Amino acid sequence: MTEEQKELFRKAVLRVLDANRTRYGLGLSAVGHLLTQFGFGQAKSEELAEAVDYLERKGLVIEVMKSVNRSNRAWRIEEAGIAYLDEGR
Amino acid sequence: MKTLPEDRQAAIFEYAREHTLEETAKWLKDDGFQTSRSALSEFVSWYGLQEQLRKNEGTVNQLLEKLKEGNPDYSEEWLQKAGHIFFSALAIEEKDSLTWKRTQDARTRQEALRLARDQFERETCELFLKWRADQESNRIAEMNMPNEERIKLLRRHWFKDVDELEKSGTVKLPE
Repeated sequence: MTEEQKELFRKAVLRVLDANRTRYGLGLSAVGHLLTQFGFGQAKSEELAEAVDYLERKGLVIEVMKSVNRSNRAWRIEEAGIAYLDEGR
Repeated sequence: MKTLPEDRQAAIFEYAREHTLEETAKWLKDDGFQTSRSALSEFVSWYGLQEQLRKNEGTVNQLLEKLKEGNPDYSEEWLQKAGHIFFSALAIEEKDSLTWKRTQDARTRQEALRLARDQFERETCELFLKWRADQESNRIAEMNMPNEERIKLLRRHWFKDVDELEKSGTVKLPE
């Protein structure tokens, strides 16, 4: 992916997490599946993990369930993430 | 659009489900709300997913309550972790069901189309054989006159019963 594509992909990941206003977080597989609702095809797990890590470093998402088992990890959007998406609109 | 009141968001989502994005944008514009096609598309995706996840949250909450009832020694932390896992699993399960349903709907439509085409081809061949065996039809078909005239004669020959029925006044055929 080019830098521009990566940016679009990260935004789409953020949009999926933005739609989740529940008390639970979403795991990588779930985010990958739900990305199709925002026009993205099934993403590679490495690309997803990289995007989520990036968003977490930027403070836009937060890991709500830290686990050694990668498939059991889950994330939620932060207020900063919601604000970031709103700015782009 | 995400900051609009909840009932307004629900109304827009419902309208968008039954109309195209262009129609929905025009409907909103007529109501004094200007938005772009892309913003509208994003809102519809966001709202639909949000509703789905909200329902899933209810399902997971119920499931955890049942678990708690049957196993009072489970810790809150354990239940919370289970909640995250169930919630993610449910999102994948539902999405898979939707994808499967869409695929099945497309397959059903294709199959119906294939059956209709088969039926049309078979009936056309049957009619050809029937007409080919009819001497009067062959005589008309071989007449030296324009197609339009031969079609008129064939029609009169093949549908004379219908014409007579109509003339009798007992039935009125649609125009």
